[in-house]
Amino acid sequence: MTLTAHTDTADRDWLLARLGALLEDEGPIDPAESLIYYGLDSLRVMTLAAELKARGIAVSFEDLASAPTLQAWEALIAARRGG
Amino acid sequence: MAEPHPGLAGWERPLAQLRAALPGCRAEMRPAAPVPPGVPRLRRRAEYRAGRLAAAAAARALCGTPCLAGRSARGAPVWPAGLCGAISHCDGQAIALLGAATLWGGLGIDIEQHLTPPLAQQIASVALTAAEQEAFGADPRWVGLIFSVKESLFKALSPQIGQGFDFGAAELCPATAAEPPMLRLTRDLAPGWFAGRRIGAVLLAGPAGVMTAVALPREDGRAGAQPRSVAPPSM
Repeated sequence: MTLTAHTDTADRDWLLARLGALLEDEGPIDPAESLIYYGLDSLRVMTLAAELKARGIAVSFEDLASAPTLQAWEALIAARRGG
Repeated sequence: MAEPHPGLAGWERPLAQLRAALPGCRAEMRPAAPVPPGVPRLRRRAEYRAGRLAAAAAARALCGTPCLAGRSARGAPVWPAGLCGAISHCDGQAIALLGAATLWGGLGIDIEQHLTPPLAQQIASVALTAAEQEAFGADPRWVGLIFSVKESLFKALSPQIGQGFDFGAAELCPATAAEPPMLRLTRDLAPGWFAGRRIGAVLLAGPAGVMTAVALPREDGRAGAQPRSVAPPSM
């Protein structure tokens, strides 16, 4: 079995790493808690939308902002990636 | 006129320009209480509290009584009857813009830190329409102003029309010889809010960041004139 490293994919680890950097929060993130409580703001949402777009995943600011939780974003990204 | 308040370093000039551009409204800024670094939750809470204090001060300046703004399920402020307004936070500062609901159908305010060139490049690809990218490129100052003014438009308009909209629903038209930069809706959003409708905006910049506002007069015949657009003096 070969593990292929995709530098341009957007999986759960990537999302967690990006959130950690964007939110400057060192603690664990409750998947069901609003990311607003972790310091998320609109510019950071837009930054993440841009990074996802660069990885071929089309999610709008509205998509992300309407349900700002880790679990909602994981589901959204999985759906837009096609499974 | 509000008394000078300590700790607004870098925002004094845009705040004064905002007040001059929207004399029918009241704008107040308050610094957030200092919090230990690395705990965004505490920072967020301190900024939230500063926003509510700014709103209370703006209400007192407007009608003599400080108000206590409620909080909607999505975190937006809920104003007492007779008032409308908006709050924004940025980097330890909070600003509130309030007006009388008899005059204003919606008010939006937004402050943002200046963008770095790489972040501006990134944001431009999703926050700017093709026409905006054509007109403004990825100039960090303009990308910041456009991002911010769309936030302001969202705060001013979405409660009024009862729906959200994304960053592609409006675009900033560059200044012409006849008029300063103005927002233009790119599609029909609600009755009266049709594609092509132009909306005035206040666009300001200072050492600490950019400040934008959108003030929508009430449209039932009692409204005042549409506020003129104000572009940053440096641009």
